[in-house]
Amino acid sequence: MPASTSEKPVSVSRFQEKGFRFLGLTFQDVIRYFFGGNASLAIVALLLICVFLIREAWLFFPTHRHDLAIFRQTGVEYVDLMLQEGIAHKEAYTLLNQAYLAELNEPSQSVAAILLAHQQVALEVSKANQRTVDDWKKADDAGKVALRTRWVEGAEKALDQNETWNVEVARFEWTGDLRQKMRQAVLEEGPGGDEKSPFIAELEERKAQIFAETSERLKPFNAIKLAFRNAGRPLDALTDELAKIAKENRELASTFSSAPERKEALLEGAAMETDPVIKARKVAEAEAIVMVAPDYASLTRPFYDSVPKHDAVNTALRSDLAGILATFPEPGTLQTELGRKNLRLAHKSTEQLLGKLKLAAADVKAWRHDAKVGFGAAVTSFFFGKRWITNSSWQDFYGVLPLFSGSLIIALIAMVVAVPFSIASAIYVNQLASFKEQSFVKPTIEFIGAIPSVVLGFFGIMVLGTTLRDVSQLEWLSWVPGFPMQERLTMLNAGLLLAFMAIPTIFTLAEDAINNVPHAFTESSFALGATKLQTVFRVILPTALSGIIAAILLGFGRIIGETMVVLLVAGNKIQIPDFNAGLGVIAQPAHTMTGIIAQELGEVERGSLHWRALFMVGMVLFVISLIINYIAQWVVKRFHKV
Amino acid sequence: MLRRELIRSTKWFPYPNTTTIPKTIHRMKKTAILAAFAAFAVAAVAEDKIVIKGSDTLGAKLVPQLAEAYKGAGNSVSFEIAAEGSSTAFTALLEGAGDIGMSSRGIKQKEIDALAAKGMKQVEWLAGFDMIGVIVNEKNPVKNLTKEQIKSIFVGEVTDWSEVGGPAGPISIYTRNTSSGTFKAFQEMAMDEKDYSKDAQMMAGNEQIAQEVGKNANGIGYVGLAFATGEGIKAISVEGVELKAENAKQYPIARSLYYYTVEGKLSPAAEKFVKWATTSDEALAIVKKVHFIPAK
Amino acid sequence: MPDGILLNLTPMNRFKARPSTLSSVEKLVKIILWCATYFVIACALGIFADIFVKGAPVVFQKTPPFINVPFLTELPETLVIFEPGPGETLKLNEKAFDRFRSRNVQVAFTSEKVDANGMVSFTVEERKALQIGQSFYRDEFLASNPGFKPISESSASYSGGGILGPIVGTVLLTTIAVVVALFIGVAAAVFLNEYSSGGPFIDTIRLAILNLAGVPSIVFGLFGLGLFCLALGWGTSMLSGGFTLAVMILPVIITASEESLKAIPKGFREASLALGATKWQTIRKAVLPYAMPGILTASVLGVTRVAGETAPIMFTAAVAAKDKLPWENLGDGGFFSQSVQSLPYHIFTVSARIPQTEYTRPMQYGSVFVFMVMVMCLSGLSVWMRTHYRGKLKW
Repeated sequence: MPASTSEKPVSVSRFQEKGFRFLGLTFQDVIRYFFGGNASLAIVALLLICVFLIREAWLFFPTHRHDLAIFRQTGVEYVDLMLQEGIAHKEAYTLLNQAYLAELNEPSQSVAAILLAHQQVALEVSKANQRTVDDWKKADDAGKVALRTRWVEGAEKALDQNETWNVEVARFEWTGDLRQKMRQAVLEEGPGGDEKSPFIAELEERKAQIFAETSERLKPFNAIKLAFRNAGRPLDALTDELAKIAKENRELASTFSSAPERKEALLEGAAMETDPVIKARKVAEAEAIVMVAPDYASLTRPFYDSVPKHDAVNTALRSDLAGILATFPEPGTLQTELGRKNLRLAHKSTEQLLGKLKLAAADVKAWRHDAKVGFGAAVTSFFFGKRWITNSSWQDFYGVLPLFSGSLIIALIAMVVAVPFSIASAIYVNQLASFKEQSFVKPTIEFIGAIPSVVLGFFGIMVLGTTLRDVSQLEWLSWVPGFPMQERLTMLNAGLLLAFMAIPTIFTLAEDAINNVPHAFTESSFALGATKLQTVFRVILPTALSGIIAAILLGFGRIIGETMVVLLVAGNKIQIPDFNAGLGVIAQPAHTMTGIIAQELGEVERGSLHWRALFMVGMVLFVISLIINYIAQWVVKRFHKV
Repeated sequence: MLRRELIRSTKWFPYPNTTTIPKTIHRMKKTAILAAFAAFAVAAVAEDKIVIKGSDTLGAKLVPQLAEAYKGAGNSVSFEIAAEGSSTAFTALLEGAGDIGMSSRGIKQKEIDALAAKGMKQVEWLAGFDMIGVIVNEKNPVKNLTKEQIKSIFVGEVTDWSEVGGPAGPISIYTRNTSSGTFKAFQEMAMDEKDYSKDAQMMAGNEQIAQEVGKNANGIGYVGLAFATGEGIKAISVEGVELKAENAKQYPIARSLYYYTVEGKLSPAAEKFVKWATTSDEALAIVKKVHFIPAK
Repeated sequence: MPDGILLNLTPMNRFKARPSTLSSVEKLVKIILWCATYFVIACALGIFADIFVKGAPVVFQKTPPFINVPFLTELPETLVIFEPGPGETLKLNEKAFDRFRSRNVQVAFTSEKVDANGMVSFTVEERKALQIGQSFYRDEFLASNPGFKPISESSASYSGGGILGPIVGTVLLTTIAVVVALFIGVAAAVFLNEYSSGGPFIDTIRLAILNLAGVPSIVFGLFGLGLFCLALGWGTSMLSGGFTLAVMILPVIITASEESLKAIPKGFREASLALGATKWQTIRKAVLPYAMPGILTASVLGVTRVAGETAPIMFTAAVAAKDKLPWENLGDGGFFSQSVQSLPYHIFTVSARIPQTEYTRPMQYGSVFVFMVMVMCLSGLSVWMRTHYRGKLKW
């Protein structure tokens, strides 16, 4: 107990009870140490958190390294190099294809919209007459006549209701004439939906016609697209062929690596067994386990043999693509905005692809199955890995980057929303609001902090998600980045809810900081003739700045560690967000560090690599929270003296 | 100073210029604690407890209803059911945390090894069959997809509905999380073991998939047969075979569902239940009712 | 608006500011600040309103006793829904059916009630009686009514019955957490405020407390899983969950208790010591009793925090379905070593893990509503305690 005893002269008071001794300590000392012990529990708890995170996670890197080594020895890694080439090629193709499809679909869009609207109206009508539709399916011919009448009645009733006509089709508007025709068409089709009304048949014909015309016009583009796709086929075929071998190799390797364990377990089980028959069976099973290491050199022979072939395929692909790239249509010749955008992206991505393929060719040549896997590789593949793929039929990756980026972007969205609001309300409440207002606003905002996060998450999936998406469809809001959104569960949705959680924290701390500005400052400012707001913005805020920054940091710390909201609302797509979308990135779903732990920890085998990886993610979170805390304290200390 | 701020952030803390606390509060507290302990001490007659863990496909609907019916049939047992994914079944068995594991896939070699390493051996009970339905939004006119199309959608090669005969619009893929048996089964049966598109969103359960697809006109996902009738979704035919219990034989994406127990470690009550659940007519009727196909 | 300003600025009043861009900018800034503040409040009210409008009808009803008693006193169950007559839907439950039948001996389900289509028609009273509970043991009903053909029946898991199990679980978990945290927290605060006087050790403790407060809740979950469930072998249990939560609120309780100890004037201690009391006697008689209100308020605050947390109990204590209350079926493990349902986890389950139908909505919103009301009451209590004790005697 290094605590000083300077305050202790009292304890020699004459009135002190004497005689009681416990392990050489007086009663007073015992009490003192008891309290001291409890206080040190805070340290103990923090240390225990470290210890237990580390305890579960520390084997991650060695195990992961071992795993990576197996991937290398068995050649899975080699095939993965080719697989990545294929994926990059497909990504570029997808963009090109999307450009083509945008062009292809555009001319028939208006007709297609009517058909889609028809389908939705018909769906509503048959939903309203579900029973009749069900009966119709079972009915015989005689019954159908009666049902037909019942259906027409029900359908008319449904068609008279306004909701039936609320269709969600982009670029669609009901005109009186169209509505009338549609009504007739729906009635003509009957409950089974198997008779086609002439109106719809005509529309479909027209759509097909336009479609045919457009395809004819876009034939050259289509040819380019197909050529682009087909250029990749040899590579795919080669990859598939090698992948089979690699998978078999990996099977062998994993059987081998678990063999000693299995043998031991069986022998142990046999030792415990009393029944001689089962015992003999178990021993025999144990003996049957092969413990000879696979010969990786001969197993990976096919890969080395395939290098020249890959080289040829790769070179051919590159020259093909370069040729095709030159024939890409000018983006200006396309008619749709989406098509132009995707074509430009495809162009860019193909150029990148050519570079990637070149590098990949070198990588493939340089690959050696017996190259040592360094410890650094395990570490970098976790901290800088761009893929988090678990339970894969191929190769597991534990790269924290997609999760980290998701967490970070969501937290940033939340901060961008929360900071202005909370600081503004802090200023308003502390400086401008009347006393009465204060006593209403403050507890209300503080109360927001008491809303459990799972409730906010629930609100997010039930209400906010749908609302946001509906709002984003509005025509006049289409300038907002990322709008119109297709998904309900997005980073924006999660960010807004987290902002709501951060507001009370930041508000309270910032309001406190503002409150702590000495009165003398304000008064001298007024005395110099400054107005209220001048005082607020030029005197009070700068003085309280350190406190406000600390408030923001602590708010940030709170939301980056928040779990339930992001688990329920963020959309759980494990991928680094696509920054090509610019600010529109906020409309994409993402997965987060906290979310992945909550989602996967309950399901993985204890002590497995995956389990350890999740504890590693926990470590990262823990360290981040400590750093944020540290910076906040530093800010307060550093600037408070000034 | 920061510390104070931190604490203030925790709100409504009185900085008391406070008065004395009435003694009664002390006394009340004591009595309350005593009463609480007394209440804890009142141990009711212990019924046998059956702990069931594992697959969400089985645990969300079928097993709770089986449990209720089982109790309704006059068996005095109590149940605890946790449905977090098939992998949890085996971890629970391994740790002795559950009596029965539910799984929507067969046990893996790795899991057999893990059990063997603890001197345990699994017993497999066939719970029934499930068809994995591919679902789209009810507003989507697409009614049928081939296996090849489904595969190319889920691996991310086809990204627009107009490529498979629907209206133009980017496809949103919803899949299960990686520990799910459905995730794995679908990958094996429908995707030639190819990895999922990285644009796929991982949902916590069958239900979340149904919910999202029901609210996204461009969504596609897959769910167990029992979930394929939710709000706003429709199951599409695969290779022309409709998703119906009668078609179980022809439908290309169907799989078995299992209960797993540990040999020699099954309590009599749990054994009775699992036997009842897999063989009795009453249980099989329930299996049918929640849209699975009974094992017999 | 500009009219008002101009009117005020009559040349008579020389001390009034002249109209200037500055003053209108000030007005504008003020309005912006006002809007920001009230926008936040409006959002909060919007969320509350949504939950209350959709949740209150589940918990309250128009007829006496005005509260949906089964919802608060039953355990979650499967709900069976079927249509006994055209356009009518019944949601029934085994217990309620038994009650109903014992009162109405077979009247309702005799075959005269079955019409030509095989549909049963019920009277209003019968229907009302049936709907008292929410689910229904269907097979039994069908067995006793061979003529009855239910139409489009379906079932919704966890949507029938009530939420007593989760409520009880939450109460138990929070009680354990708060009792443990109060015990340690108050002792730690006494040490920090009464015994310690600086030094590197104390600084380390304070730093640790501060850092503990910033650790994400899911990390506490990992920690609890590692320490309590695995290392100590408590398994997924109430005790593991309670202790995990206790560690989590420890910093809140320590700092809050310390603040309230600090607020006790030094004179109290000095007077006590001068009278010859020992240090411990002083703390026990002259300091702690006066700090109690503050500490209690802190504990209520702690309860509010703890009750709302889901992440730390996900792996340490919670279970989705359990058909007995904790004290009903002790088994061999003992009271504290069983896993429990808890309200936040239950909300997570019903909102994201089970098949959703329109029949699940009442359970979802009902649970959320009850949960919010609980949290609000606790928050309200702590506000009340703060003002109440603050308003009393000053020294």
